[in-house]
Amino acid sequence: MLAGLLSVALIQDAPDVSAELVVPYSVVRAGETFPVGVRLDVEEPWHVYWVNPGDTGIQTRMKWYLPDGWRVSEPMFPSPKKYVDGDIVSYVHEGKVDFVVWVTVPESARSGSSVDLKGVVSWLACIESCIPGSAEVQSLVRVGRQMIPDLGKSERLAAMRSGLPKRIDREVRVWREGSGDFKLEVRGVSAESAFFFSESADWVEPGPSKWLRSRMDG
Amino acid sequence: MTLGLKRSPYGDGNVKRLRGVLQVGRENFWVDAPVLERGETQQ
Repeated sequence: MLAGLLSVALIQDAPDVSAELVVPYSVVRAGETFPVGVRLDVEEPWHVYWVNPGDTGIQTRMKWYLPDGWRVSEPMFPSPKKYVDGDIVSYVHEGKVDFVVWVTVPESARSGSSVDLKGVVSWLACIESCIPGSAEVQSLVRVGRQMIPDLGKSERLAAMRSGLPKRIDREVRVWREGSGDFKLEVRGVSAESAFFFSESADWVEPGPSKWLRSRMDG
Repeated sequence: MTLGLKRSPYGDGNVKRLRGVLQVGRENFWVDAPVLERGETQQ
């Protein structure tokens, strides 16, 4: 596969993909956990991949380099899109792609100190061919006696978080049939179409969900 | 609303919870639900 990717890189320019960290506080306090946005801006018409890439592709990943005691959660991915190429169904992101991670400041963090939040985002960008890429993200954060928001970045982060899937407020039931296939029922919802993106490739086949029925049932 | 989802050919089939994004129209919902045993699905 590596040889294939290298040959592709020789005949096609890598897409322009930039990465940016959006920290909504100018000062953070020891012991607090706060959200941080990570934006990838992917040149159209290329795409990168969701946590489960589907039939092809590689998950977009983040690696963090922080001082002792600082912790970063796994990234929360925005809602994916289906990318269908013949029988191949992939789960992708296009354009501006906004992830959110949660950063925890250790209790031992000293007020008055500064910390470099630094990480590397890596992706596989594809359209007719695929080219891997990565970029460093970085932001200096001051530790103080209270959390002080950066208002401009707080607004940006709120917009970024709006792209995350919402927690469902309806009763959901999932069960298996004798074949091992799943049924997913959402009560009180009627829709003309729906699709389920499984977080793991080990659970559900990425192809189209079989539409069984739609009705308002309480 | 009920969807049929085909089991993956990968994995060992031992799925206790199903997590993922349910797209209904233009809305996207995070689903994290236990996989019920057959006897638990009776109402």
